[in-house]
Amino acid sequence: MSQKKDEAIVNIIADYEKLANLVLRQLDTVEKLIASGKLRLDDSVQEDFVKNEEKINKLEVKLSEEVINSIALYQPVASQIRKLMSCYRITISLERIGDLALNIVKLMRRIENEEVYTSLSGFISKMMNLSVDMSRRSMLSFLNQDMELAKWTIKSEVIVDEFNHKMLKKVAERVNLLAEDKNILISFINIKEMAASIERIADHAANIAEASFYSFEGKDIRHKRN
Amino acid sequence: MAVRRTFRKRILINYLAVFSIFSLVVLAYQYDREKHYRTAQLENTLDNISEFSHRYIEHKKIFETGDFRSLDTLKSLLPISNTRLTVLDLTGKVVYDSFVANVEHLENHLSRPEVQKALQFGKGSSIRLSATTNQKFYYYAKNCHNYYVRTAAVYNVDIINFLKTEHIFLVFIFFLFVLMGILFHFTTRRLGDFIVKLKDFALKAGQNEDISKMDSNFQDNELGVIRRQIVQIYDNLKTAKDELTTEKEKLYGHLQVLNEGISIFSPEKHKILANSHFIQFINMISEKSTISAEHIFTIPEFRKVLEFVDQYRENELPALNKELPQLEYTIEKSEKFFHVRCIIFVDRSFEVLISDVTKPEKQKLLKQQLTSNIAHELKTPLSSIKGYLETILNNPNIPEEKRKYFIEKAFAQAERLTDLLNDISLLNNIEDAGGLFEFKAVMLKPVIHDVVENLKHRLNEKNMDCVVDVSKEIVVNGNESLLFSIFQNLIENSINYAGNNASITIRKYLEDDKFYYFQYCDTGIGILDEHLTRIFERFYRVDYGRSRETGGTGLGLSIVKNAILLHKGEISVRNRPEGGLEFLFSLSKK
Repeated sequence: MSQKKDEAIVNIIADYEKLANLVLRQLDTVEKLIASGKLRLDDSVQEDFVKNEEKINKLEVKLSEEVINSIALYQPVASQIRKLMSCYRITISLERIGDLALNIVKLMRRIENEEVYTSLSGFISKMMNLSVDMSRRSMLSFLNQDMELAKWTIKSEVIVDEFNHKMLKKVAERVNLLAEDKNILISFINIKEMAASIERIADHAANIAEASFYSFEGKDIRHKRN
Repeated sequence: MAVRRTFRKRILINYLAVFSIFSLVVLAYQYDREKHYRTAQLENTLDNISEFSHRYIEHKKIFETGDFRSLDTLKSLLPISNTRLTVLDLTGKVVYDSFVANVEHLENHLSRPEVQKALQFGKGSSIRLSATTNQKFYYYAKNCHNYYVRTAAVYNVDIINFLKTEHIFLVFIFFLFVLMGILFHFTTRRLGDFIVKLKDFALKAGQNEDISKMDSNFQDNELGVIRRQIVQIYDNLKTAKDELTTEKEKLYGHLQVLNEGISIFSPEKHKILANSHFIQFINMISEKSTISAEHIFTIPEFRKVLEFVDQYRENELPALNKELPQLEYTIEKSEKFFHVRCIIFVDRSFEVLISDVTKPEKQKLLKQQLTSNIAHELKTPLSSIKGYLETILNNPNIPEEKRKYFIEKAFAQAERLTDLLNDISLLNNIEDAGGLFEFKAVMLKPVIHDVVENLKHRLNEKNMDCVVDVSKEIVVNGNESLLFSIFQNLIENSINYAGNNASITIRKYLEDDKFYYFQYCDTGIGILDEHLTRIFERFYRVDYGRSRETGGTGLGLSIVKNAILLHKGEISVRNRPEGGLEFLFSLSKK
């Protein structure tokens, strides 16, 4: 039985790796799109992007079931339960990150005033780079049981937060100047939404890192950073 | 694994079977013996009766008289009532039968087996079903020279009687059976308990549970020995396993903190382990995000590795004692350099090592740049000197005034060359042989005072003044000539670039347990922000065309920075909001 249990856990981790890679591919696509300064993906890329999102959703369901089954069937010991529960939490976050990536792409299509976007895209791009880096490191930290990466991600969340607040200030200044122009206002709000989504990615990355921390340390550090 | 029947039950069943068979055999044997005994007894009785009858016939001379009916009295005398007595003459004719009155009707008895035996051996017996009474009879015939006496009794040695007569024996057997059963029950229960314990014990050991603390109520018999041996084997294995795990964890931990990226793959190109640096490096190189080490095989930069591995997958590997096949090369990707090394092991698994060699590579480039810079900087004054001297040599009739002018110019350039060489050698000394500078307590105020005195003339030329706000008590741990260079180069920098009428301030603004913090600032034109980060680089000039005229070597601030670093201090630079350049630096206390 213990052999079957080990096998089940190995399978779960392999599926996690697959899911994480898929999500990272989505993030890469968004990151490149933002860096390119364009507002919409090429058609073929867009198609892939949507397909991947479906794959992510399916994989998330599969993974969650596997986790629950293995807990129910194989009576894992404490450290294994920690690992499985962390994987479960991470899976939920990964799926959310996937959704947010799709959200960002959708929101970008709705930006009508390209000029406004261009003036802020460098800022957004930096924010995205950091968020993707955080996501990558947090996912890797769980796979490799690397505490340093997890700590780094958790600390970095503050920076992305700050980015988001600065953005609000910048936007506020602009809105005062061009109060009449609705079009611009809408564009701004959309960009702001984008930034919020990116911020959420970073947030999830931190969640993943916390779960990964819990998995090997057994300490729950949710909502008590430092 | 389901145990169908416990060991104890099996022993009990086997015992019962064996004991039942044994009892049956004993019973059968006893029965047979009893049968024989009874038969012999019967025969003995019949022989006695025959003998008795024979004596009676002789005594009464019945054969002579032929009065056989008188034998009927004998019949009533005999102890066994239903004994049949028959007398035959030598021809086999029945002359008397105690059961049949009319003997003439009886057939000749000579052919009867008992009579035949009696004819030959003197006596004989036979067991038959009697035609007349339909009962099993035991016939006994005795030869009495001129007649036969035959006696017969109902043959009745069946089991019922036997059981009746021998029930004590049966009770004894049964009692034995029960006793042995109880005895066995207890022994097998003890044995069974041991075995169940041993089983639980072995099961626990199999499931990797802790067995050392299990109840050790095993006695000092073979089972105890088995248990001890199992514990010992288990302990040995556990120690070995624990040691291996610790070693593996140590290795893993070591690989994780390594600055190199390392990954080991199975021959099928599946990841066995990969550290985080490895994943991050391949992410940097491929510019795609992944957390799988296998991703490396899809990156064009690593095609070489793939080909290398594939080549050795098919080819024979070199013999054990030879060196393992290795592949090494460097990848350049967006201004970063990665050194890649692939080693194939004997079992065809392989490892890929990636190290970030950007720093050494960059340093190499920097050194090359520096050498060409130095060459260039040396060439400029040298060609000037050469030019002036050539002019003088080629024009012997040049007016004295002009000649003097050229010589002065050439001398100035030679001075510049000396300065340059001095600076280069100072810089090299600081960098490569910092240990050679003698460090001691130095009073800072006189040093700065000397520097200002030295440069007074040049300061006055530019109408600059220098305010030194450093108290006498400040003593730093440093090298006097290096400290001299620091302030000289800072002030020269201001003289050369700040512009006329600038004012210089040197002051200590802070101190803590270990350091004094100094501010050096001028009120000059400052430097554009984009140059600020680079002004400490060697030969870096804000304005290449103009600044060489003003006389600097381009090494001054490099010397300042390196000298301060050698003093374990730090230096930073910024433009002051109110204009002018400001350096903030620290020097360690005595």
